[in-house]
Amino acid sequence: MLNGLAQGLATALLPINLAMVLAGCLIGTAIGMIPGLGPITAIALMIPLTYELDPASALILMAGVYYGAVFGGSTSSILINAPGESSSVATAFDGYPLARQGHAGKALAIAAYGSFAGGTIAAVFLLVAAPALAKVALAFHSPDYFAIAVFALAAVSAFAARGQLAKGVAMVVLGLMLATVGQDVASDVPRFTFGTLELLDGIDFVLLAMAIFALSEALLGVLRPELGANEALPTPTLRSLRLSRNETREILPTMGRSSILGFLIGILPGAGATIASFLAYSMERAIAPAAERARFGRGSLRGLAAPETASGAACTGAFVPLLTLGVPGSGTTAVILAALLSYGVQPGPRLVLDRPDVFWSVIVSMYIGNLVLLVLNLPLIPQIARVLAVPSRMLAPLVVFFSVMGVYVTTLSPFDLTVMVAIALAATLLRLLDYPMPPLALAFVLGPMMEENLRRAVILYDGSFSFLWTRPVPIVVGSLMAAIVGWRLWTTLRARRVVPSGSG
Amino acid sequence: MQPQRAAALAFLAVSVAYLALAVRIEEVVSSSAAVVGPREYPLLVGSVGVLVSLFLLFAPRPAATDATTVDVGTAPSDRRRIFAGDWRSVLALCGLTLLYAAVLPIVGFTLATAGFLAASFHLLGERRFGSLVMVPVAIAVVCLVLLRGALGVYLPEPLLEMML
Repeated sequence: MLNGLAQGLATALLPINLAMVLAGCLIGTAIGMIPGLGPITAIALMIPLTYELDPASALILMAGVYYGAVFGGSTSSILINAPGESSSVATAFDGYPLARQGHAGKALAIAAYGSFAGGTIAAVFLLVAAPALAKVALAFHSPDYFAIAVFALAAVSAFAARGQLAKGVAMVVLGLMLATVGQDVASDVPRFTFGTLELLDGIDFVLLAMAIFALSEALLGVLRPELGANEALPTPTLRSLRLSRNETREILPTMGRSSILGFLIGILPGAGATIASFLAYSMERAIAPAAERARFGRGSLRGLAAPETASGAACTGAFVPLLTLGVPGSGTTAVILAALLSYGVQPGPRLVLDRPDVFWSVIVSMYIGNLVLLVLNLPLIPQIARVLAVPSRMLAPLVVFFSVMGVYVTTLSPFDLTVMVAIALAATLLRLLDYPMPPLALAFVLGPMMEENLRRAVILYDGSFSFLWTRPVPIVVGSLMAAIVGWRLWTTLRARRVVPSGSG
Repeated sequence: MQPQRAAALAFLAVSVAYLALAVRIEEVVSSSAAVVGPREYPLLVGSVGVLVSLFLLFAPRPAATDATTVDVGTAPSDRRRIFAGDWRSVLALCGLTLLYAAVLPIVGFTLATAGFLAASFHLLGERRFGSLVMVPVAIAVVCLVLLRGALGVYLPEPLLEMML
């Protein structure tokens, strides 16, 4: 292994490859910042440009683009509450409030540190345990995925303020409903399309995320400037990126926990960075002391560090099944698999033996990509955050424009833009009534995965639901959920008991 | 009606309508052998929706116990407080967005974007000539060059294509 690592390091540190990772990080960050263009698009756009390159150099460029795009997505989440992809939704929960409080620089820096920490720890895991973990990941079947999806939805309690759990559940149900719009994947039967061709493909996630987060935020800002993003903020300086010793001490354990969780979720094919980020956020909120828990959703450093770190670790974890088994674990790794195949490289158990230069240079370059991203982007943060200094009367229309563009470049459909405006108006009304939006986004992402795996599991078990009490993962997950619900009920009842009678 | 109850009622209506549409989903022969076909999962989701909305409608409202609880809408007078604001500008901005969506494929990205940005800046109170003309045109051109020129993303430009 050490020989391979040294070989990979030597390849990755060649001047041409360092230039590749540098260019990749810059291009990836720029593309990722455009709402609607995430890592998948960024890497797909790079494939034709890399045909002339040596496979190792091409993959190194892609690793840079990948991490750059992930960081770029976090940037638009934090600065304008516009998560361009599902894995950066949880970043906005505390990143955006931090930016509105004048700590945009610090929030972006924590995103960069979190992504770096997650990527680093996951890269170490990848080095030492990739083949063994890949076998474990493949042991997961449909019932287990169904259980994990239900568990992630149960994390909705993390997003609901006390006494508002029913509203959170209502938003989960609404998200699940919206996710069923379109052609049924298994049977091709159209569902809830009202006979329109435009709805056959369902509702695009970018459309939904832009509508319920960015667009509704802009509309709230126009409706009531004190509620929304219509206040120009000062540009952060390099000095403001520094974290105090207490702040560092606060987020370090979070990064450690979230890295492990993110990596483990990331290696499961299909689970990916989105579930990892939501679960890490929920976990941190659940274990935080009461005072810190109250800050979640209002600018908690832990609330920002957790999803960013987990997402970074999951991105690296997704390479485990790709490199060791040839199975892409996410949409992005599927595109990378296509690129590898086009270079004549076949990922799988023999990759490390047949092409050690490629295998190890990918692993090393992923780490170098993380490092370069940190070194390159930290000094740029004050410039990136200048967007917040735009006058209020111009920021809201610009947020609307970037949201619209983010949807239009992916769908090219004016119909989708109409749907987006309608959803944004509904989301604005719901937000005024204190209905939380994150559960809706989470349910929308997990809904199809839940339904697909439920149906597959029922078929595997001859029409029976016995997998719920015979397989270990559903049993463990079910027990955890029962514990969470029980704890939540207990704290609610306890809180009601201590409220003076006059206030209730 | 109290806003929170009205919202719960609206959610109940959505859930019932969803269930009614779910019942009408075509059942296919191959999937009817399995317990969960294209119809069953939506039926389950819709049923949970009805239950949750009934809970929201009839459950007693918890009192505000701490800073994390924002229980609004329990009194009729809250309606004005919750929905107060400049709705005219909100609806006008939505209207401009829909107009932008409609004219984008016809007049092209650059013209539609510059027009949309200028109109919405003006709507929200911007009056400086540079901001109303130069900024929208610059943003539209930069986005066009970046997306269509550098990244190869298709953006409609019928007028430009006609001229070229």
